[in-house]
Amino acid sequence: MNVPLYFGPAAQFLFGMLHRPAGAQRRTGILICPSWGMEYQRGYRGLRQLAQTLARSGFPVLRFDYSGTGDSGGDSRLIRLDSWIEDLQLAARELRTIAGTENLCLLGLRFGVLLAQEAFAVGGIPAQTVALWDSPPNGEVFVNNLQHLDQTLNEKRRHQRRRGWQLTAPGRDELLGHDLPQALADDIARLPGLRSNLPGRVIFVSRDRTPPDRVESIRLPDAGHWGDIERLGSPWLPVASFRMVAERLANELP
Amino acid sequence: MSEQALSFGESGALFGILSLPDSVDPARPAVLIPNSGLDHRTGPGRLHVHLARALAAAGIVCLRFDNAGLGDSDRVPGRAPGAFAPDLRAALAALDARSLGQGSIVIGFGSGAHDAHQAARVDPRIVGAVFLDGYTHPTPRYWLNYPIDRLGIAGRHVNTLVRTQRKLTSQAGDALHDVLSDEVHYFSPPTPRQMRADLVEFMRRSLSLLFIYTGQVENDYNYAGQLLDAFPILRDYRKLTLHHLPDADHRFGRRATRDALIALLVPWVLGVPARSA
Repeated sequence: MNVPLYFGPAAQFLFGMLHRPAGAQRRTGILICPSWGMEYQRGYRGLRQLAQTLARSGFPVLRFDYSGTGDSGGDSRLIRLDSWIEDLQLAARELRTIAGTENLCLLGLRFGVLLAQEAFAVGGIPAQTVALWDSPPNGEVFVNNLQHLDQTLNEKRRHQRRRGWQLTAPGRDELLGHDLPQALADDIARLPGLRSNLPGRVIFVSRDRTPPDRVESIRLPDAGHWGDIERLGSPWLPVASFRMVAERLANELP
Repeated sequence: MSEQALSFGESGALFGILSLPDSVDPARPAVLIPNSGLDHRTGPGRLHVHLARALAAAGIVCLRFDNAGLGDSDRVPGRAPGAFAPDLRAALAALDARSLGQGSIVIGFGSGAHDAHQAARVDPRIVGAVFLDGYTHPTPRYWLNYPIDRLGIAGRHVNTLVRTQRKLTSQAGDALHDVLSDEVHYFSPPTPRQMRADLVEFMRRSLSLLFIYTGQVENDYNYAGQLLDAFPILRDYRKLTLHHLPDADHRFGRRATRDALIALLVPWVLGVPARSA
């Protein structure tokens, strides 16, 4: 059963969706940390499907939108990374309170991996496990990839349009149709890749990236195609990978 | 302004977000925003969110929602691909049941414009409709404007179609999965004769109509008055508004164009009269 939730401060409310397990509930709740911008949009339906697959395995799962994104409140032009770390802390608390779980697994997708790691590393999120799905090498590479896609798309459109009908030029603080204030872009670009000092259990989830030595991993059957301009408008829905990850987590987490 | 999650439709399978003004005036029409393409209810670059909140701040109730199989709405087994008209009707019923408006205005972007058109044909609860990059029909001037160098671009579009087709038939192991083809919205534009008949019906029911065409559909709509030339019966219809925005793209991917669009839509919606009792 899916339960929509509003939580956090009224002035900057957060929207989330709790997926309750159909049968007996496990002791671990899973908090999904989505990506940002176009990747958030591409991944929305897929993360819902993943959440439902995990809920069928007995996990209560919470998906939510960071401040200034999706259906949450907040002005996207004023957001800084610290706000999103606080959002993660709030969401973790909300999941634990509502679902009554003892343990927490953070499952990040793309940018969500970098954010989850950061939040996990600075403390305030009592997670035992963090699963890193298609992690970018670091924040700088993540932003550069989106900038490259943005430039390629603009070039393509410029080439396709009449000279007198050119598109309004993009603002300096937007990327692929999403607000990205410079201060936030700088915050993201400073995020490191896989941290070696994460407390608890780390599971690296990818088809194309090789996990660092001695890091647990799940090798996926599907690629994410995150750098493919032709896939920008295509939903990310790797169902075989969803099944594989859900089975593995169900086998290994309480 | 506040927001509420809303499950509606058969077994509550459909999902949307209601944006409510501080004080709801049930005598005003409410606004419905269905999906645009495969994006979930927030719309491209959160356009639907910003628009819904701007409308609520101006006193208008707005429901942005996901059609079956998109966003947070469940799929309907056996439903033909892209057949979203029942979802729009369910959304109209949900607003009616809550007495949230005297009639409704549908704002449709892209595929949503086609859904708005199909619903407006038959549903008396609709008092106004916005068609953003909706159906287009060529005219003699359109063909005159269609220079030979565009043929090269048309060729590229054919290639894109071929690529899209290839994607939809891609095998497991690729990021696109076997359900995707069911979730893509296919449409057949009405023939000019059918379109004319629909417009006559819209005018008979005195619907407020706003047509907006962006520069991204320049291969289908290439000058400001093409709609009026294609359907001259619209020329004297006083509840018609037509805008051509050649510097905007189909997804309103620039904040400047999104803001300009919202500034255009809110006063238009405020000017739509409620359904007569």
